[in-house]
Amino acid sequence: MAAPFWADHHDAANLHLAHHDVTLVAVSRGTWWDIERFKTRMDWKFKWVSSYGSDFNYDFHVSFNEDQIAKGEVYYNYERLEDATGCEELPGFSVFYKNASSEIFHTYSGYARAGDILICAYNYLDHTPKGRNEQRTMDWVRHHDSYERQPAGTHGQSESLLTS
Amino acid sequence: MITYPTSESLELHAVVSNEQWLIARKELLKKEKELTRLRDEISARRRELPWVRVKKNHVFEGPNGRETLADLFEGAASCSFSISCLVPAGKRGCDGCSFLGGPP
Repeated sequence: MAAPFWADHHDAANLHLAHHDVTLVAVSRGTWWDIERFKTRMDWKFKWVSSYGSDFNYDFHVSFNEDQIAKGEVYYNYERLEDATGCEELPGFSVFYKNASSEIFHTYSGYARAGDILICAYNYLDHTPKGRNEQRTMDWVRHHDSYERQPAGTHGQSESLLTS
Repeated sequence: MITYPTSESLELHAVVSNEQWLIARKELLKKEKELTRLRDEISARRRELPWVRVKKNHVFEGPNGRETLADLFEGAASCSFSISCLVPAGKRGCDGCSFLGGPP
């Protein structure tokens, strides 16, 4: 659930990033048709492209091929995963720079909890009495159109976070 | 693992005077300032990391059809990609992360 939760924050950031020399693009290995269908459902506006058939996800260490998984040679977040049987990909983000000669450079990649700071809802929760209020990372997170209509505390308690 | 307070445990949470609260809050502020300065330092070191030239011509499919990595910059100098776990049909995404192949 990390990726959709994270993606919910892209459009808000993009209101400003797009005017500050930074382009934010989401990439998935799913086909363009699948991406477009899900993007419409989530009402997301940011650019989201398909890397289907490309090495991009593998080159930047967020997707792993069957051979790597079978041999237990999956490297994620700059180390070998102890248990790599779980999945073919994990979340991450990479940054590139294009110079005046249109040469492209890879400048940064972050994985796992490096993405925490980009999830604004977590930063709000970190200032409240119950904190992230989860047993396991993101165990409470749903697609934003799948929450029950009335969020409520179990015994009517609630937390307020006012901004000015 | 981090344990977060529950509604039950918060019933027993310390409640103090404004004056006592301010003392505790200022103690925390010292740590918050340390974090702010450390974050600034880490951000500076991130900017100072050396770069690696991208030689491969990755091609993507998007709203404008087939686009290269260079196309995706759309005129900006920096391009940041978030890579999401939307996997091709029939493939395994992360536990709870894949949103293809049926309702969430």
